[in-house]
Amino acid sequence: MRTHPHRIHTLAILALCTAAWSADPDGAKILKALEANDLLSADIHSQVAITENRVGQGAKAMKCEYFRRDADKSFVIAITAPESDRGNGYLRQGDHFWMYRRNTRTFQHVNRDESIGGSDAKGQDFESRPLTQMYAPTKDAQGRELVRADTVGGVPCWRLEVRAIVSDVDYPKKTMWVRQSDLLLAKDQSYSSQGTLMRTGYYTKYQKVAQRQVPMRQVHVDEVEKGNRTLVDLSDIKVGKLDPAIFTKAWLESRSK
Amino acid sequence: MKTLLYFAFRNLARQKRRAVLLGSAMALGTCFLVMASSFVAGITQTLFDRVMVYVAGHTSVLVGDRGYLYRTALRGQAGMKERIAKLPHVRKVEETIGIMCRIVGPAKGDNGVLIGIDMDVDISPEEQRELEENFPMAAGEFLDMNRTDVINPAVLSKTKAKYLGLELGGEFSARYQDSRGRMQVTKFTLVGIFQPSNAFMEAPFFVSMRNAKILLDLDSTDLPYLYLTLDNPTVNAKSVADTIHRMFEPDLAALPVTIRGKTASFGTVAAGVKTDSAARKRMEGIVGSAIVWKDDVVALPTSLASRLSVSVGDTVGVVSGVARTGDTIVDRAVVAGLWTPPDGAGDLVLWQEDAFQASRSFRRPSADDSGLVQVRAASSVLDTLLSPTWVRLPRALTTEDVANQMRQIGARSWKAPVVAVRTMYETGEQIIKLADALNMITLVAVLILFLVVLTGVVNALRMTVRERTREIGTLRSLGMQAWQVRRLFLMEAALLSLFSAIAGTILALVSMKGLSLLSFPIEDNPLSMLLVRGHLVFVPRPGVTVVHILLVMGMALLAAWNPASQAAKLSPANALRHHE
Repeated sequence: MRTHPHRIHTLAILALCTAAWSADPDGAKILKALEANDLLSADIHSQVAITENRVGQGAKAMKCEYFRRDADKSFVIAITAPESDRGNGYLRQGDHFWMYRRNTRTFQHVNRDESIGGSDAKGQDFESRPLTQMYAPTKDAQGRELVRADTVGGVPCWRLEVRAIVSDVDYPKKTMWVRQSDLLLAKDQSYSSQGTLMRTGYYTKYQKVAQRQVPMRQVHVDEVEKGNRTLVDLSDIKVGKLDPAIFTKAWLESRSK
Repeated sequence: MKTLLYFAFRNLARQKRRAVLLGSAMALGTCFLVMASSFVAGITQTLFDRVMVYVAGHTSVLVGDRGYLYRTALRGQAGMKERIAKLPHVRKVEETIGIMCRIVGPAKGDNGVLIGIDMDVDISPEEQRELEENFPMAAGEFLDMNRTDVINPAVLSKTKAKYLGLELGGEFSARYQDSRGRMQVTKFTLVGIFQPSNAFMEAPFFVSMRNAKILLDLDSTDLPYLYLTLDNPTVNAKSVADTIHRMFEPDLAALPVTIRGKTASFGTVAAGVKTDSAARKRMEGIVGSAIVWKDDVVALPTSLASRLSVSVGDTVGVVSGVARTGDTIVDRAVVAGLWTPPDGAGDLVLWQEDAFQASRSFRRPSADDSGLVQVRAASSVLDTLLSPTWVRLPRALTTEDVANQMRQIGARSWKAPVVAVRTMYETGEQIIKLADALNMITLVAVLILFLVVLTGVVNALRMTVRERTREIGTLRSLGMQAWQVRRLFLMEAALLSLFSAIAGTILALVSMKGLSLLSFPIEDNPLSMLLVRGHLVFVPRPGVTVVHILLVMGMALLAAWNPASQAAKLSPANALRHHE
C-alpha cells in the first residue's frame, strides 16, 4: 500500500486562514496566523482520494475515510479502496499510533520515524506541533525577514522563507507562498539542511467549512525522484462531534468485516 | 580377542557379496546422514557468519531514541567504546550505521540501506579473506571508499547498480533521515561494484564510516551501534554481552536550563518526570496541579516562580542549551504546578519527560554540564518518577524477546533513550531452532532408513548363523565359550557397520565437494541467501560425524544381538549334528 496520511493530516493542519489581512508582509505574523488556525475546535470527517504516480509504476489510487478529533490528538484513517487494502487503517490515540492489518487482524505500533505504508510519510508527521515552535522566518544579514511579493499561477502571494528553530523537524528549511488576499497557503517547498530541494506542494481549491478554509486538492511533487507525484483530493467534509467509539481499535477492526 | 577379531574379519571376507550388499546399504544411509547434517550446519553457518554477523555482530550494543528506529546514537557516550574494547575476548569493536534510504539512479529508484564501514580499523588476513569472499569486486575496489577526489564514494552490489542504471564512476542520489530525524538528500559516486554473495547482500550500499557520520550528523561524542567481533563467539558471546549490559547501568538525568519568565530569567537545573497514568497521579499530589501532567509542561519551585513572576497556567521559556546547528534550544512549557524541592535539590525544575529528553538529545554536550547532585537529592521525594539518562533494556534471550522489545520501542514505552545488548545467537535464535528442527527431521528420516537396512542385517545374520551352525559346533567343541560365540557375531556386525560408516562418510565428503562445485544461478530467489555466491555450503563437523558413525554401529550391534545370542545358545553336540 502506498498512502500519504501526512498529506491528509496537513489538510486539517493547513485548513485555516480566514480573515483577510492587508497589513505589510510580516513573516512572524504570517506564521502566527497559520498556527492560530492549527487546531480544529471541532471534530472533522471527510473522504480522501489519493493518487500516486511513480516512475515506471504508473498511477495507484487509494480512497479512505478520515476522522479527526484534535481535543485529544486522535484520528482514524480507514482505507476503503483498492480492494486489496480495504479494511486496513491507522489509529492515533495520544502517544500511541497503530497500524491495523485486515489480513492478520492485528494492530501494530508504528515507530515515530517509520514509513507509513511505504510512503514518505512517517509516524512522527502526525504529531501536531505549533508551527512557530518549529519554524521562524529566515532573516538576511541586515536582520530583515526574507518575505517578498511573488505569484503562484498568477495569484499574488507572499513568498516567505522559514528555517527550523528546533532540530527534530523533517525539513530544516522551507519556502512558503501564502496568498495575499486571504493568507491561504498556495505552495511550499521543503529543503534538506544542505539546501537541496526535496519536495514541492501545491494547495488549490479551497472550500469554506465551519468558518475555515480547507484545501480540497493538494499536489505533492517529489523533487528527488523526478516524476513521482501525489494528488490528494478531499470531499464530503463534515464538521461536528464524532462518536467517541470511532477512535477505538474495536471500531477500526469492525470496519474491516 | 585377537583370535575373535581374526575370525570376524575372515568371516566377513568369506561372505563378500552379502557383506558388500549390506555394507553398501549402511554406507548410503551414513552418507545421507552426514550430508544432511553438514548441509544444515552449512545453512546455519551461512546465515550466522554471512548474514547475522553483519546484522547483529557476534555481540552488539544497540541504541535508540524515544520511539525512533533510525535515531541510533546515544549522545555523549562515545567513551563506552574504548571501555568495551578492553574487555576480555573482545577482538574488535566496530561502530555500525545502517539507515534505510531511497536510492535514485539515472534509470530508476529503489529502496536500500546505507551502511557505514569503518575503513580505519586493522583487519587480520583471515578477515581480509572473508571480506573478499563476501564482497568479491566486479569493478573498482572496496578501499576506493576512502577516495577524496570524488563526492561521497560509495560501493553498490552489481544487482542494485544494474537496476539503478549505474556504471562505475556514475553518480546517484540517496534520500534518508539523519540521526536527528531530518530528511536529507546526498549525491554519491559509485567507486566499486561487488558481486553479492547472497540476496541479503543486494540491498546495502556502503560508504566509509567517516563519511556516514558526517552525512548522518553524528559527532565525536555520540555512541552509535557497536558490533563486536569476539574470540570463539559461541562460547564467549553471552558472557561478554552480560558484562557490557552491566556496564550500561543508567543514572538519573539532569539538564542545566534557563527559565524565562515574564520579567526575568534564571539559570537552574531540570529533571525529567514521567507522564504515565500512575506518574501523573503522583505528580498531581506533589505539585497540586490543576493542569494535566502531560505534554509540554513544567513544575517550578515556588520560590523560582515567585522570582520569575509566573503562576500556574502561565507559559515559560525553557532554554536548554545550544543545538549543533548553533541555534539556542528554546521550548515553551506551561506551568502545571508549583512544588517545594527537598534539601539539596535547589531550584530543581520538573519537566515533562518527552520534552526533557528531546532537549537532551538535540543539545550540544558541554563540559560545564552539571545538576546531578540536585536531581539525586530530589530522588528522595520523586524516586521512580525521575527520568534516567537512558533505559537499559533487559537482556533479550530469544528472537521473540527481541521482537517484543522492538514493539515496545515503537509503542514508546520508554521516553528516554534505550540501550540494548544482544548476541547474534539471541537475535538469530530462530535460526538455531530451525537448524535443530532440520537436524531432528534428518535424524528421524535416517533412523527409519536404518531400520529397513538393519532388518536386512538381522535376516543376513540369521542366515549366517544357520549356515555356520556346524562351524559353531566345532568351535564350541574346541573350547570356545558361548559368550565368545556371541561376541564373534557382534564383532562381525560391528566391523561391517564401522567399515560401511567410514565408506559412507568418505562418499559423503566426496559428494559434498562435488555438489559445492556446482553453481546455482538463483540470484533473484530468496533462497540464494542460503548459498554463497551461488554455491551450496556444507560444513562437516568431525565430532558430529563420529557420533553418527557410533550411532550406526550401535544400531547394527542392537540388530545383531538376537541372532548372535541364538548362535551362542547352540549346544556343541546339536550344532555338530546339524545338517541342511
